[in-house]
Amino acid sequence: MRSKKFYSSLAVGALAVLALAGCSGVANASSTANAAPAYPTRPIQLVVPFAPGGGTDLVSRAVAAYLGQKWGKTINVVNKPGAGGATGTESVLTASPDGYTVLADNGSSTEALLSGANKPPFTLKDLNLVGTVVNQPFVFLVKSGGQFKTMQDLDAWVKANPGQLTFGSTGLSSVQTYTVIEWLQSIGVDYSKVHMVPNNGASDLLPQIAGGHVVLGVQDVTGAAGLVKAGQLTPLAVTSTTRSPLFPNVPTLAQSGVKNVVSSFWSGIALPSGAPASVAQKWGSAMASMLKDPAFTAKLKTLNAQGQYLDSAQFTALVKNNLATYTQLVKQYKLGQ
Amino acid sequence: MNSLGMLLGGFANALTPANLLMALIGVLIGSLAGMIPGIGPTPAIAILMPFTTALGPVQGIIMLAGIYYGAVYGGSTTAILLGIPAELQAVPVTLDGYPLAKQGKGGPALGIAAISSFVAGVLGVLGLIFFAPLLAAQALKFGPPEYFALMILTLTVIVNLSGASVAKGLVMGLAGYLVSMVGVGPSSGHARFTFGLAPLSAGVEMVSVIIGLFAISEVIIGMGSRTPVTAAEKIGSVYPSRADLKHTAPTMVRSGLIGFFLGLLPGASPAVSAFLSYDVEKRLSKNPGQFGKGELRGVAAPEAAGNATASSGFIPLFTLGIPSSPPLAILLAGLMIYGLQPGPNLFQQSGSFVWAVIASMFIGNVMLVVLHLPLVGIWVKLTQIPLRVLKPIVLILCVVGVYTVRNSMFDVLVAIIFGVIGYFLRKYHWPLVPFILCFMLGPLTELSFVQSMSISNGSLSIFFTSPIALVILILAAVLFAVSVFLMRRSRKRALSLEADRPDLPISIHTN
Repeated sequence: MRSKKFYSSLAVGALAVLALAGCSGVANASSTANAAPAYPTRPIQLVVPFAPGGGTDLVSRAVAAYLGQKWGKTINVVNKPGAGGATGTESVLTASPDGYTVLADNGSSTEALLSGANKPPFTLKDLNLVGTVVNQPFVFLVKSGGQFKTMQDLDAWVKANPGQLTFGSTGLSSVQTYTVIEWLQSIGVDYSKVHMVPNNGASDLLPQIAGGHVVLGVQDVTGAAGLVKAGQLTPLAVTSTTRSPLFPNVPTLAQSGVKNVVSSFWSGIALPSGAPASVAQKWGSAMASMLKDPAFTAKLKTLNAQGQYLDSAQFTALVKNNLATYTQLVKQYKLGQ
Repeated sequence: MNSLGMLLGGFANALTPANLLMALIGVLIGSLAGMIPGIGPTPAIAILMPFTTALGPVQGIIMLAGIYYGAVYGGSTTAILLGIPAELQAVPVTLDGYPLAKQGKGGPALGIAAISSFVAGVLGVLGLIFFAPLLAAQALKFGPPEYFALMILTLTVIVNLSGASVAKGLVMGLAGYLVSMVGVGPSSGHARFTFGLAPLSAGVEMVSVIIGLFAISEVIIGMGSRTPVTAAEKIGSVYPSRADLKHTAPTMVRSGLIGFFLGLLPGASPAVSAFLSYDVEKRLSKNPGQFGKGELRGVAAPEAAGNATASSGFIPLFTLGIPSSPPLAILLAGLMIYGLQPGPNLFQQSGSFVWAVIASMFIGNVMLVVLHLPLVGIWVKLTQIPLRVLKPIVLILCVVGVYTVRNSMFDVLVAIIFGVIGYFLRKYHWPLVPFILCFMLGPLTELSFVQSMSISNGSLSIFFTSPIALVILILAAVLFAVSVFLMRRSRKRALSLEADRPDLPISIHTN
């Protein structure tokens, strides 16, 4: 009787270990070091460092479906959310840099994290930024039917009542917050007088704006599209230098008299910096032609995403430039310190 | 009445053999996914969405909706038969479902669960058809102070789910709240209680805690017990008796309504409404002592509420484009891929398509009942598998399921640790439910409080100047006082009962 129990416990333990082993990720069989080895020869893992359902996740799934079909190898989207994107990014950086573990990146998991007071366990140097899929402006959003019809209305009111401005953002070190600070600087309002209302992201923020609980929201066009089209939110201005094709009637900040405030929400593909150059090239050229394919751009449009391919050099320059600006802002305003 | 005509058109569209087959496949896959701990609707939909895009729009959406409904429903099967809540929403279902299964009444319990789901699901779809735009506008009135008040109201449930000792319940609740704070906090972005461990900065995953406390601890208990807990010999009739139906019908309607209204609020998950409705039923019951020991109403309430919330979640989704839960967010993406733009004009712009989707929800709900009632016999066979075979399988499913949520090995470790903690907590009769409840509500409570303070510039008066928040807070205070009073009285009674009949057990631990 006793030995039976022992054996069954042993079996339970053994099976549990087996199950654990099965979970331990892809095998590390690496390709041989030829000049330009065939790629991909087996399924690729595309790690999304956010929960399923968000903008970057949906765009990544579209990319995985498109390139997976093109290359004839499955691209599995794996969500590893947590710590603002640091968890998923770190998991890609610690995996074998053989090009079979790829990161879906965006501004939140790079610029925002790296500029913030709580540094993640990696730097920009650890990443090879391959190219962008989406590069789109943020939109300044207020409640529909309220007192603000234009950006000028909002500017005038905030100058008169800075203490009454509430704006929603995912945190102190987020691109949304940085954009609001730059806007306030531009119109000459003291940032310390306004109030940030922290939130969990678009699905938390947008109803708060539409319901009049929070005055201003700064959200990328993908997130904003639903409630704007539903007539619940009024877009005042976009943060790009030219108007967004998704909102052709909405002026840019510069057109509304707010100078020198430009920011964007991008999502793209990154590899660990140790990954083979040939793999990065293959991704880059495939993404370039993907964004010229009407079938893919039509899919992006259904997701309310604004596609733009920036190659590795342009992409890296954009992120470096933003990071320098944002790091300076964090220092100047002592954000999160 | 135009709606009705359009709905009939939708049915004509959805009732073709090919579409029915899609609904069937969707519901089957969803049910299976829902039964496996940790899989649930979100990954099931996310994984299968690429395959459905190969189908036509109507067929694709019908299949996705089927997966969603199936998964929400499937969770109750393992919850009732094995006492393992595959998802948070299924925790209250286990409270009475598992005791019923142990008493050999697993069949009727599953039957009542299926019927409750159906009733509530249909209720939700009806609300969606007739009141969608009207209700969506009301939901926007809920801002941070109102959500905070709602969370406080939900917290009063603790008193009723603490078992014999309110003090133990409060201790467990606070512990749950403490664990929920692990990770990067709102607003400041500072890491809390991470002890320098990088994986902890992402917080403790809900599914790991549930699986650990409820499922893995169950396996450990099984290993430790000398006499194996014999599985139910017979399951009883699958079809609940007329008396059972009559007994639970009011519960289904009440809980369905609670679930429906909570589903309108983005952020109030099926789990919140499942817990709240269980609590409401226990309060309204003439024999609250029966709850936790195998009361059919305790199965019907969370099941109906959870499913009504799942259906009415489509209202903010369709009319405003706000997904109130992760699976709905993915479903929204599916809708958008097919060119459907949510908003008040949705019904005008994409009429026939939307009505086909709504009709398919009806069909999906009917299929669930049709599928599950005869299948109950097969599911129940699960409980007849010898425990020494079943337990290792359960353990493997737990490990795989926990891993799948965030693809994290660390989460598996967390689940095992909570399994050991759960074993000792159960052994020494500390109630687990308050812990889970506070763990679930903690982040939203904190966030809505911080948001309210930010809006009011640090003044607590914001909770009293909002009429909605004030009413909810007063309700919470009254409920708390009444519960404590009732609890004292019933405890006195139980003690006097024990004095008269020392052979009667008074263990009312709501484990």
